[in-house]
Amino acid sequence: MNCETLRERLAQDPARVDEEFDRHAESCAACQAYRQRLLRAEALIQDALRFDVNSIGRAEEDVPAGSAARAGWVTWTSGLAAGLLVGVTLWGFLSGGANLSPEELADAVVDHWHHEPDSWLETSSPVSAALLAEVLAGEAELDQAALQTVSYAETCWVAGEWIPHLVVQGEAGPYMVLLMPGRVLQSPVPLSLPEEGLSGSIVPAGAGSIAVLGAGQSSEIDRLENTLAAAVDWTI
Amino acid sequence: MSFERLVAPWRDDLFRYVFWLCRDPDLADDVVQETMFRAFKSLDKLEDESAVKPWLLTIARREHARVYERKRFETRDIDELTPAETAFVATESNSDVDDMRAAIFRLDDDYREPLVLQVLMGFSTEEIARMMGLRQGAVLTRLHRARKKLMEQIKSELDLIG
Repeated sequence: MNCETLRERLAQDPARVDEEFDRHAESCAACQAYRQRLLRAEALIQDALRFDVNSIGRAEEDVPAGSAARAGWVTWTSGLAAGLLVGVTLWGFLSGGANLSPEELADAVVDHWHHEPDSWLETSSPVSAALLAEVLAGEAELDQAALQTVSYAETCWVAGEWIPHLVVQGEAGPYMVLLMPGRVLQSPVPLSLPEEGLSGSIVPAGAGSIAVLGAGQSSEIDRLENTLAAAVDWTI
Repeated sequence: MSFERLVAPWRDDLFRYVFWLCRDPDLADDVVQETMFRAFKSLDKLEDESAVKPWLLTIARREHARVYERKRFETRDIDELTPAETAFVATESNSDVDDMRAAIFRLDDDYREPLVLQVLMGFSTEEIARMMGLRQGAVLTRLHRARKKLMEQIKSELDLIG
């Protein structure tokens, strides 16, 4: 092999022992010098990549304090905090946003609609059963037979909690549905996104609540909310 | 073994890996949070506890890709560092490390990721190829080119060190 080929091979992994290069370098000062430069660069690469994670500037998490809403999640996050994340905002999602006012909750729900534009499709293609089951696992059971197509399912961080975000197809197009286990409301909270022509509400549903936002008439939204309330069985 | 004890040794490196993918500490926070949540939910699918590192990275890599699918980030010239990147590269007392950090920022994503996986995470080229869905030869080529580009960018510092 010539110098160029050997150097190329060395640069693929300078930490690897390469006896052929070693033998060659004994009689090639240029390749010896190349290796020294490469090793110096490698040391700098390692130092540059392995930065102190606590020294890096990050925006403060905007996670409101409040009582925990989901026992399983909070048990894990509390343990995680104790073991891993003391004082680090990186993992600052320990408590839910149960103390949000109804207006703040409505704002968070409406704001979330903007975060997932790719979910907003009018389609007859359902999300896979496996993905839907994964998203609902530990949160709720859903009688899908009562609904039209569920076209999207994702676990999302909304108002201080990880919750199932679904898109359910209705007569007037898609509806964003957020299932909020443990979020007990005293009365429905209206939702409005006039610039997109969307409206809906967050309705109490037993030990949780359900948000529905879409372009349909209020009667269709009411019907969907009632259907969902009957179809959802919280598992917390 | 508990989830906490299983993932604790990889916490910092997981954040570093995601940060070098996205070059945005806040976005890296989000991706790591999502990664940990998904890992926790699917812990029963981890058959071999010794494989926790590639398992976490695979989840993080997928989450990072999902973020980019969902959000339409502005494309920008990689030769220009953002203010946050500029501040970040100046955190070391060693200016050579700062220069190298800036050079790594300027690498194409295709070159930076295998380098991070190899140098920071300690994966073999075969493992990197599997994770990135590439031929091993392609990984070797990218690693070679990555180092070549970095050495070209900090040529003067390497000369001075020597």
